Amino acid sequence: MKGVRVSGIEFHLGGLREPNQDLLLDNPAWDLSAIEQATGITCRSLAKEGECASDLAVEAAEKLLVRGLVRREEIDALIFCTQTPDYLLPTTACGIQERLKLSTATAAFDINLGCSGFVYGLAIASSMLKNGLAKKLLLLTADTYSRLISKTDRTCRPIFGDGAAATLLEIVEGRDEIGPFELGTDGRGGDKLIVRGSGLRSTPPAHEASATTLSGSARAAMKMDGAGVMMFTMSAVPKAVSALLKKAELGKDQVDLYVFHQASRSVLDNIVRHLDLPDEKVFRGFAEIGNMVSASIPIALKQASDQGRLKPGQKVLLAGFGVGYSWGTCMLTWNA
Amino acid sequence: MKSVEAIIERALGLKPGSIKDDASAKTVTEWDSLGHLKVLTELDSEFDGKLAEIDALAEATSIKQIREILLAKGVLTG
Repeated sequence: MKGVRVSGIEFHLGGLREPNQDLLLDNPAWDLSAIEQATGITCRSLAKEGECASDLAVEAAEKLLVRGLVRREEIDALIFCTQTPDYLLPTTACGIQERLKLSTATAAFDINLGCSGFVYGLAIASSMLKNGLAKKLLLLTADTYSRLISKTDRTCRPIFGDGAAATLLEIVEGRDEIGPFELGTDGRGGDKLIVRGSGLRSTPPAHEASATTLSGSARAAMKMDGAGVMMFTMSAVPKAVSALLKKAELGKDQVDLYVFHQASRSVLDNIVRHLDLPDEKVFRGFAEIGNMVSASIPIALKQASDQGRLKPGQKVLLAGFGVGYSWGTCMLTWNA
Repeated sequence: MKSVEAIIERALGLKPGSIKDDASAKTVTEWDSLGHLKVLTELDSEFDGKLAEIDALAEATSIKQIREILLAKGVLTG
């Protein structure tokens, strides 16, 4: 019997540090205490000038390769999950293949998902590995949302950070260590977290057209309906988790650690309240780095392992959720 | 069961009796976008998690609107 294993995770954060105090430079009237209470975030890692998501992803991948878990010529599939690609075309994963000097026999492609992206990436990777399309797959998750956020946006700016994670997945003899999965979508939430004018569909309304983003450029900026997104997470995520546990034939207490997308304190507190989970089983590692979008879950897994919160053989429940609306949950046996 | 006004006072850290039934995000300084997240959390907690399905609450930023929605959904009675 063959299964799929997560064999290793490494991450790389944006090179700038932005403590909450720095928010006052552009926004002297902001109440930092209220912001920290709502978000649970005291500092964010942000991309340096000129640093793109693919740069962060390549750094994370190189860290993983240095560990010697896999030789770069053995990698035969690369999935890059991002919503901040280098270009609309070509596919950023193609450029990463070249930069990492992977074989040209590598299947490389992007997936455009945000905070649900890691779980979807695991689902796609698992399917490819089990169907013989790959033996050793590199799943990279990275974003530089700071490039899309207005300096004066109090909903988005205090929350999002820039970073990347590299996850190695491979076929192993024995039990499957990833799955089952519960994936879902509700496109009615599409306009709740959006960058209008960022694609080819429409010209953004004037007030969204040229916000000065953190990178100093004038471009269409991200808009998030914080209340709408929070209501969605309170409703959809507990249901998805409950459905997953039922599918996995597990009770809540049989999960060793819950690693949710590290969205913000308000969002996580409400999900934990709805599921009635003990705090000690819920990992939170985002306070000093921010919400890392699709990299947040793998970063949290690595943090949990490094802190001794996650040990080999333990059962972890992962739940990613957000922009789209999109969500995904899965079980993972930790052996990285 | 606390009144909607009392729930919102607790959410926003206001003195009991300071919120009247005509209060809204326009008239209460603390009821800004961050305050509204606290209002939604406190309401949902007070009503035992039953409000998470009511999307309309995300945009309900007055006592009147909140009460109307909760009555329509049968969460509040008369």
